[in-house]
Amino acid sequence: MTESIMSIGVGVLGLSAIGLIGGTVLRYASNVFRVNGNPVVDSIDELLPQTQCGQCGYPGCRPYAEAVANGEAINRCPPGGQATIDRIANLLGVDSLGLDADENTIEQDLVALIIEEECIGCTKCIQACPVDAIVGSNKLMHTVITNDCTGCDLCVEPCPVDCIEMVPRPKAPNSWAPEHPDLISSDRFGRVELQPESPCIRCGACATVCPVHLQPQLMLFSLKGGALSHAVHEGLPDCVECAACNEVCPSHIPLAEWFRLGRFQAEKVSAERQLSSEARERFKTRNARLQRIAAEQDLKRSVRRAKSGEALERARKAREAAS
Amino acid sequence: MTDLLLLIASAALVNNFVLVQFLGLCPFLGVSSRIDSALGISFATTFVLTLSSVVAYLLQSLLLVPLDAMWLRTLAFIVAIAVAVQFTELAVKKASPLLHSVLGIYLPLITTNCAVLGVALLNTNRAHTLVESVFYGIGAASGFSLVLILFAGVRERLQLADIPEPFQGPSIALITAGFMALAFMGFSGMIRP
Repeated sequence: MTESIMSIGVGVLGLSAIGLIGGTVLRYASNVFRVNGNPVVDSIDELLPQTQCGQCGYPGCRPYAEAVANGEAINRCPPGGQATIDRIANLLGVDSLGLDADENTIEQDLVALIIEEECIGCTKCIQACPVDAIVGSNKLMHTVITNDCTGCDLCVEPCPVDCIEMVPRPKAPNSWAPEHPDLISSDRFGRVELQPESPCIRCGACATVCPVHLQPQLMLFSLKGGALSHAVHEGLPDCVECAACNEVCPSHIPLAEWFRLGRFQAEKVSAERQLSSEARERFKTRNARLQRIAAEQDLKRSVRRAKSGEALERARKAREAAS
Repeated sequence: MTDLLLLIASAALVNNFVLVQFLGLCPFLGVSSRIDSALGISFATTFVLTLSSVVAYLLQSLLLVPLDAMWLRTLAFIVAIAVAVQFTELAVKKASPLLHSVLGIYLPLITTNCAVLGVALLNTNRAHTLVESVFYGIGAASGFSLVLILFAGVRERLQLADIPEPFQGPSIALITAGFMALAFMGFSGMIRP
């Protein structure tokens, strides 16, 4: 009897002691490792297109990034499209979702265009633009800086004379990308007749002939699997498109054409990144400027109020003195 | 010194915890889909394993043996491991918030990683000294990390390969794990445990 009570006592006291020590250590550790803010937000914000359009239901890209970090659905960004959803899913290690948007949202790269003959110079679109992409002045014609426009269409609504239209972004000649590698193969000198393609048999012949020592078969799997960043990691930018791999491939896979397509896509992604980081900078600058203007106006208003208060006081005194 | 090196090699390769003793299979299959998360969980598990084998040794020699309460061993070790895991989670959250959110539930689940408790219990069963316990923990952890990272590398490649439909996903992962276990059988008999 006494023995079993002793055992229970030892068990309870022993475990309590361990728990107490452990708890103290953890309490101390939680103080040392305190995290301020949520740094995941920055990484998510990096991936968003920075249109600041508010179609996700949040006032800008950063608030949406914060919401995603706190568990909001990742598929609320129509301007980013499926590509952005996939990237966020990859970043956070969750499953990708389809775009959650209205039926009429078209996934197309648009920019605003002001019909300059009709513009009356009201500056309303300038105030609406979140990224300072519209220039113009009061009663003077406005215009959109096409390279800076993110296509958020926030300027369309405020225009009193409906002179703003959304048009497809003008394409630079080097931004054209073929839809499928075969389009390029048919263009290649001496390869007009396309051989039917068979599955890769992993013979490694392409890796042997590659003059820049790449692993063409790995890059091909990455590109076919849609993992562009993986292909870039395997050395896609180093490919010289010599098409030596095409020549030796016993399965007649148009490897060089896939790589050219992949490089088109990689360049497009980096151009989008560039555009969105510039838009983010301008959005930040604009917000800072708006805050500064608001503060200056507050100051002026309070000075004016003080002055008019003094004047009233003087008038009241003068009236009293007269009576 | 040779003994300690042999101990590490034995725990890491010959008696690999995942592929030979089949301990810690949950994170082995759960977080091996990407190399960077596999690296993260490897570092976390290595830290926890080393820390918990020290703590378990101290508990054993300072508390359980003097009190003659060996029946309390499993409970006491689990509590100590849970503390070590919580500590690791706090540290990871501070050091790499992104890794913390990617690993998600698998980080606190290190507590129930049977390799961790397995190392603590095997240490006491084999009456290892403090230094031996630490080295055994490090060996087990490096074996776990090695296998996990290799497996994650293979799975990353597999995601892009044209696998026949019935074998896609977990089935090819399990087949791969089986092949790796077969390969690790090649180490058996190299060192007497």
